[in-house]
Amino acid sequence: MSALAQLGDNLALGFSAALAPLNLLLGLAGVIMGTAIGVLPGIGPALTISLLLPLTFGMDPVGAFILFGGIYYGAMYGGSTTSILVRMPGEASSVMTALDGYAMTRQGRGGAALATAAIGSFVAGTFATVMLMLMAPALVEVALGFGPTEYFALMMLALTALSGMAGHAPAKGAFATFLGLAIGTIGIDLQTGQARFTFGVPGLLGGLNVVIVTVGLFAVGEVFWHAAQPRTSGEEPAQLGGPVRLTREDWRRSVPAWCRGTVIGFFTGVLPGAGATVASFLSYAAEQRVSRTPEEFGRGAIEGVAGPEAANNASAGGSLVPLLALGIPGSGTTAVMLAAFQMYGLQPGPLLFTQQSGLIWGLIASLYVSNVLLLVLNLPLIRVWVRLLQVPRSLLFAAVLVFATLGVYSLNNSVFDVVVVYVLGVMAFFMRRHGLPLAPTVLGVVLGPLLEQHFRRAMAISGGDPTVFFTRPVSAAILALAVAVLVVPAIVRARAARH
Amino acid sequence: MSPDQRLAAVLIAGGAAYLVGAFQIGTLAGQYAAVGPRVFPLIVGVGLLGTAAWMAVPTAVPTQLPPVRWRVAAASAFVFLAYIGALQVVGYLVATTVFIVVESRLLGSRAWTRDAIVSLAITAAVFGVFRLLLGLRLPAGLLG
Repeated sequence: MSALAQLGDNLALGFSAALAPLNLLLGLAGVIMGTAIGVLPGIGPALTISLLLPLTFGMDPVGAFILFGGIYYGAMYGGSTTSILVRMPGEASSVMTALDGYAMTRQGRGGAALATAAIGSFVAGTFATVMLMLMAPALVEVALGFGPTEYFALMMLALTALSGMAGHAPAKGAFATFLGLAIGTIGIDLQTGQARFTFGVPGLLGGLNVVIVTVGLFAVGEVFWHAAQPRTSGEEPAQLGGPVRLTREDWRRSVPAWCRGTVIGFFTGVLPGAGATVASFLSYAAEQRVSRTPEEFGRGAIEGVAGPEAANNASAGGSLVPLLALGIPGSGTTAVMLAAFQMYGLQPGPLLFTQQSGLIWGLIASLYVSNVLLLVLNLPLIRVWVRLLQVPRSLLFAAVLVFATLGVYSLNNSVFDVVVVYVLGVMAFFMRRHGLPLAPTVLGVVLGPLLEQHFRRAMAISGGDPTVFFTRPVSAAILALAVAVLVVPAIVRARAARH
Repeated sequence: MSPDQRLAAVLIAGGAAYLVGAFQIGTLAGQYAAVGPRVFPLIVGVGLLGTAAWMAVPTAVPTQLPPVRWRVAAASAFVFLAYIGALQVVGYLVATTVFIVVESRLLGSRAWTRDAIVSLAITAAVFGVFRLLLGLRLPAGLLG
């Protein structure tokens, strides 16, 4: 069978799953929930998916992932609305949008800004899903030849890349990664049955469930942190002003920005470590550079909204490529999604593509559906989304704590698990205070046990010879890349400091 | 000492404790594995210590700790802990209704009536979804 016919078959299979009434409903629920959390500052996709993990435990995995996919795409879109209208980015990935988006609103062009964000997100999301559909199976073909050595190297790359994103404080990013790896070593060693770091507590023998860790760090920690912040008020909601549509001139300026943003976003998303936020920054910088009127940026240039909004949506699609094809997440949200796969006893990677093709292709097809739903739903509902900002922060945070507590309790009917979540929440609070990033820790917890497993398997195969990681070409190349992502930014910084 | 150096001191102590724990993992004589259960934790422990020490090195941009409302933070952490305890004693329904009202007051809400109504609605909705729709168990406490 030709590759094209194969793709057609897979897509047909996927759409038959995605368009089943219940799954369609879940996709709809996902994009609505995703947009809502995108609008609300302090609540993001990683937090929401981790809160929902315990609830979806008994669900069919296909439906659960359709829900999560909708949340992921919806959140990327939702952040833009409040950036544009209130200069209050709902997500870090929408910070760039606030610059020109809010300026446009002040000039009475908020409608055009919202329209370019919505259409740009749709274009980018659809293109990214097409690329995901084409690239992931190709990557699977390559990965079929991978052994434990290569997987070890890939996981090292994911960990170093994300920890390297800590920017001006590389030590903190690196420590956060090791902290995650350390948490991951708690529990019985599966190969030898030795208890490690359990201190005689029976509840720790099975290790810390990744669901518990993500809820503790992302949900409870986030609420503790925001509760303790001095109150700030956003800008007054500006009048929308002008119809939600684009003029001919807006189209002319938006289309190239969407295209550039999409390409930048998708490939930034595929790379481990660099997520939606980096994608939107890169896209904004690129727009400013190619513009013939760079002085307009920050004062209401439509490209400054079109590019970054396309980029953050495309990066969501891109980040699913390594997650689905290799089982390697490169960001906080995809790490939580890997935790979701593990909860169902599934390990994403080449095997999953062949054994659970209904699941994978159902998810991919549902991303197309989500994109259409987002475009159709969002523009007419903009006034509803803005009103969401009036939900009192106090009640919202109290409700998140209740959900976190009960969700975790219901996993094993265990109060001990809830106490662990509490401790992790307090830890996350202090990490945020001292500028330690949380995403590398979660990635460390999720990947740590796998990393160790592959390390020991590779060493067993090589008869205890550690040079195996450097003599196999693919593994050596990936490890070199892993070192490069740590060293190169340091050199660049050192050079910049000297000048 | 800068904030980063104080943090580094605490984390070095934590890393050292982890490393001590890693050394205490038993390895059985004549074990088959090429790499035993101790090796990976030892590497991680060295990593923790090394990166914590690295944090003590002054950076070009000194870290400034963001302001925190400590009293609110401590109070809401305490109330949340009390909630977890109360779930055991008085059960889900009572504990949750009271917790939402108290916590949102702590976080600055001054609308008692609204909070009470919303709290009842959230409690009922969670009960409906968890217990009735998904059939999950919620802590019943001594009263349930």
